[in-house]
Amino acid sequence: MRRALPRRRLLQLAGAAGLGLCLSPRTAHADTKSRVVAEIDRDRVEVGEAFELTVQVDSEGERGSEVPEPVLPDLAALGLQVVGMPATYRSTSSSFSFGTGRGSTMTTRTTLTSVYTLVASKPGRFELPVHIMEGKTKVTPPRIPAVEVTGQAAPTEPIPAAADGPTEPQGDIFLWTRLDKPTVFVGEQLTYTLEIYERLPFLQIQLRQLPGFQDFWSEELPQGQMRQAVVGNTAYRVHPGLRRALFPQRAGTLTLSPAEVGIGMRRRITGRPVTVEVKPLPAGAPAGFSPNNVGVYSIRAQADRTNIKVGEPFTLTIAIQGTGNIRVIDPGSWPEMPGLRRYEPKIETDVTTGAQLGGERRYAFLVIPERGGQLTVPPHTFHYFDPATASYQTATSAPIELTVAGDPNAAPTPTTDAPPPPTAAEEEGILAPIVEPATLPRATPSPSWLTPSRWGWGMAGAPVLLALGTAATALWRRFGPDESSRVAAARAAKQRELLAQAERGLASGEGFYPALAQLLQAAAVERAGPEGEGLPRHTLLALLARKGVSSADCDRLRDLLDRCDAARFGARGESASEREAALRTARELLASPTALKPGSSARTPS
Amino acid sequence: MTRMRIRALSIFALFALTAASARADVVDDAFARGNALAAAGDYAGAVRAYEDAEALLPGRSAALSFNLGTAYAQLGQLGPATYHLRRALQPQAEASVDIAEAARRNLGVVRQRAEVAAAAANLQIDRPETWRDAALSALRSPAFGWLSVSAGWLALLVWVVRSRYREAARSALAGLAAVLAALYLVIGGLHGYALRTELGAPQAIALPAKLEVREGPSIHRKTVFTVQGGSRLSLVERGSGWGRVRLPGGLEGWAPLSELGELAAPPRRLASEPPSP
Repeated sequence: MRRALPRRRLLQLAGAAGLGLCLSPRTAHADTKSRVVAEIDRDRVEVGEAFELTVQVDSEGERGSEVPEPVLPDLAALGLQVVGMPATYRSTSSSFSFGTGRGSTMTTRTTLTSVYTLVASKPGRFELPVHIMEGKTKVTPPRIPAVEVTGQAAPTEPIPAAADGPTEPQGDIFLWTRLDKPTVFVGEQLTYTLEIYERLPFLQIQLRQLPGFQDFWSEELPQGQMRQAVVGNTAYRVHPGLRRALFPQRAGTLTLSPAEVGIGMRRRITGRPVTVEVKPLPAGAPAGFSPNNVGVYSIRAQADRTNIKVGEPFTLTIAIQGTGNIRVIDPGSWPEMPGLRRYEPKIETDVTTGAQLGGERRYAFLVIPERGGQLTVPPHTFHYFDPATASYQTATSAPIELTVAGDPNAAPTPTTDAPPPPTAAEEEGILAPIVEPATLPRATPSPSWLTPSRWGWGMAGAPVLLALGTAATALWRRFGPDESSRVAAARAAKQRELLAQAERGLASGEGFYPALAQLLQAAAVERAGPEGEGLPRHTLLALLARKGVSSADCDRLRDLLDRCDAARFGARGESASEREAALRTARELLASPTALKPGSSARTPS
Repeated sequence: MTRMRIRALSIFALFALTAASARADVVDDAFARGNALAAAGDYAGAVRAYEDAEALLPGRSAALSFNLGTAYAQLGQLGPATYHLRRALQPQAEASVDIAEAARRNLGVVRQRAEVAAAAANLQIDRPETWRDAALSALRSPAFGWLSVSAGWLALLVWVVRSRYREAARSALAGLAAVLAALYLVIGGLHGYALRTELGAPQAIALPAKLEVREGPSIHRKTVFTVQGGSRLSLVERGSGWGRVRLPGGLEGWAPLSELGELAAPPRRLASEPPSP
């Protein structure tokens, strides 16, 4: 984040611009409307130290007119480098002026302020002739800023890489590049280490520019730990900056350009380029050797199962493992596998990053046996160059024997890289053929009545009904009539039924007296209570008399019962009026509280 | 008046019968044309003819679905082949024993080819059907629904009427009611679970050779995995033109509905547009 220009600084610049306008009318052309002022915050810096160049452009004109951009000198030629993007600020103000006999005029003044952060890379005194172009007119500031750079320029001549640390102290902070080998073969691993030596505790150390790894294959390695080191007689703290495994891709003297580190916002330090000698691979490479295969490797082959059937796929895995640039390894051409169809492999790579880059690269093939019998997955041969012994080596996997169930004489299908579309010949005998009935058999499916929603209602209905029934029963038991009430109700119903039967036989006499006798007998037994059960008539009447029934009612009851017996069993016939009178008498007995009415209070006989 | 009514009814019946027989003839003609093209090795033409017949067929035909699936299998289109062969095995198609056996065989061949293609191209594929899938499919049949409902109501009836019998018969009826209630609960529960799995996530077949399943219902969303054509997917949610699908293994994502063949939905015309009337 660019630091905001202090307000005080802006006021000073504005004042300086105004003063310049007043005192240097020759520098700013009389007919120009734009003016420029340039200033630097420090007149003296060291190599690698940052300073700020502030350029302010004032422009008068109509509202909305463009302000010319400042033009910087060739900074690269001066050994200066712009860090980041410049910070720019723009402000606008308007003023009115009134003249005699003339109308008012409005003037808009726009100020554009740009702040550049520059870093010097070589010593000397450098002027910064900033200007602006207004049309074809070059407008220069009233004072050309100049900066004096002290110190020594970073060395740019490459040196052979060293495997060890520095032997002489180089100031309070510097970069050091180490390569583990000064000479390597093409494709051999080279370990690059960038370290930052600091004598004082610096804050915000950041890698601003990576070193150049052109002509190298680069893989990141884990960084080391911060440590203490003594260079000469000076103690330094060593920060790990960068660690890479480099694999040179061509022979010759290869140069690694330096890295640049920023310390806060105001200082840059640069390392020194280093060179490494890369030797070509020696002659005598075996046929099929790939220059990517530099390192130490072994190979193995494995099948997920060896007892299979014709047409049943299995997975064949060929794994190459060892140290070297495992990602770009070339396994060579795969051998023919008679009787087996092989598809393109699925490749997986596990990289291990220790002192040496390495790991395992697996090629998983889908293989399908095309005929039965004993089949063999042939060994796979892999050539590599061992830089330690500077010789070519060969690794070979073990063959794999397969037991395939099926026809040993089945014709193989041509091998292709992708699953082939089935042909008619291939599918003959595998797919069942189409059917060709004379007329197309068809079905008209009728939707089942038992839809899921109906099934749900049906399933819920039974338990709901059971629950309702149980609840109703419980309520009935809780709030319904008790046992005696139910018995009384049943008795009254029976009486009503017998009375109705007697009324029906009133005219014809049929069934009249049996119903009447049964009605009176039952009423008498009920009136007498439990002890009246099974008593002969005269005993029952005596009991009724003891229970409080008046003697007149007992006589009427006896008379009625006798008449009923006479009508039922004797030859005596009665008229309808006599039957009506008997029924009336029976009703009176049943309704009288002193006779047979149920619930009549018992009276003690005198 | 009566004579006029009889004449009108006769004419109506004549038209109705003529239309039905004409439609049947067209279906048979298309089916026979497809068979002839398939016999000549023109499976693409056979597919078009079979789909013409299917578009005109008012009901279902296991033979037609089987031939259509087999023709697609001959063309190497494993997704449509699986879709139609599975339709041939649905109970609504009323497949004969021979056709069902042939459809199962071809489905196995197509499945084997799909597994090989999925392994070669490193695609996701559904796991083979397990005993659980077969059991759920059987439990979804209406027979189990009727059995559970009948057992429940019968148990209720027995429980209600048992009070009318003497003590010895009453205990026997109570035992019978308990057995029926157990049948009601167990079979009803299983049938309900099977229905819920089918209704909640209907089965669909991945139709293209490689179905890209994305993390959201848009062509611009990232592809989370790719499914081999012919794989069985559960359609757990529907959006506008997109469906959220789930592999039996649990992987989920969104796929265009146009690239899914729903087994419970009416048949899809996959080979070409329907002929203009």
